Amino acid sequence: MNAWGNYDETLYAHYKNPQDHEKHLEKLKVLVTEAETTGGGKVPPGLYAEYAFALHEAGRTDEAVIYFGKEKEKWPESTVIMDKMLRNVQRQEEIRKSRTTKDTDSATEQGGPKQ
Amino acid sequence: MNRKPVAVFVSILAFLAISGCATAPKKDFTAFQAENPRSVLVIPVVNKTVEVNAADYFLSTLSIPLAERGYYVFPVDVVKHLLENDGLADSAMVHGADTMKLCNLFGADSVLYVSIERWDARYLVLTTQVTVAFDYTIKGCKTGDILWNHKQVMVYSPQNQGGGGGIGTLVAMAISAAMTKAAPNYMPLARQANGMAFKYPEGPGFPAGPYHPDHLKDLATSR
Repeated sequence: MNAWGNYDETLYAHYKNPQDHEKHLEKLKVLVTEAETTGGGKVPPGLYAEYAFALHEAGRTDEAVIYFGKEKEKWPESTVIMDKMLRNVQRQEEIRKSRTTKDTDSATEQGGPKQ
Repeated sequence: MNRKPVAVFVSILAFLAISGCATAPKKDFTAFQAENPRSVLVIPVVNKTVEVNAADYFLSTLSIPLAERGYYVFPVDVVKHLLENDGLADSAMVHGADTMKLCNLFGADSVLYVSIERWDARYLVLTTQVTVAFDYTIKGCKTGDILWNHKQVMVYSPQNQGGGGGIGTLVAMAISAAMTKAAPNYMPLARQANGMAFKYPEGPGFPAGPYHPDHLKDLATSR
């Protein structure tokens, strides 16, 4: 019914070597691409979201937003959690941006941690 | 109906010593049908064995058989991360949490709870016997009640191999090859256990979901 490719083995390898984020991201990308093309668009439940999450962890927010959106569009059952993910990702991106600005502003301040 | 799955089931039986519910009577699906879930939230697995990695490894095997029965299955790794971020890093805590809370958090229709009861290899004089055992429970998000429960035990030892052909042979070969290595690879056996648990009508029975052509038809015709 769904074009899984080696989805389960990809996840298994990820749990076996959790540090290897880049490889995991690359494998998920291949799975998504194959499901969309040779798999006739039968992208299995969860795959877009797993890919989106890996993109988010790699700091590729814009792409993460696209793929969380694709999961929601393909599988309406995921709407609640995908909307949360989209809000989280965007909020974290804003925090990151404001931190970067603050860091540049207060580069000379060396205060201790706030109470 | 279709005879092929039956043949596959019989040949798997010939290769694997299956105990547990393989021949148990069909389940009562009244509660399941009443809730008629579209989606399944697979939460991290509780591990009752000494093999520390078994929980994560086994988690990777659950999405495919469930989704192929016609359900939307939430992305297991994303779910795991979100629960960890919510302070539920320990799977026992997730299993102990309020089902409705989990349902609402993810917008799920049902939750799959799995515990690993056995995941071990016994090195006997002439052979190695590998055993996996799982306890699966699905709770519905409308009531929080148990909709479905199944215990599946799979035992493999090379001596159980017999004649036959088809997929059964391939499975046996894959497991056998894995067993010759120093550390047994449990994954083929674990996948077989899921295959048995979620098979219908030849297995213990698991109703088809909305993305399966048999949805709402399978239960009506097989009794």
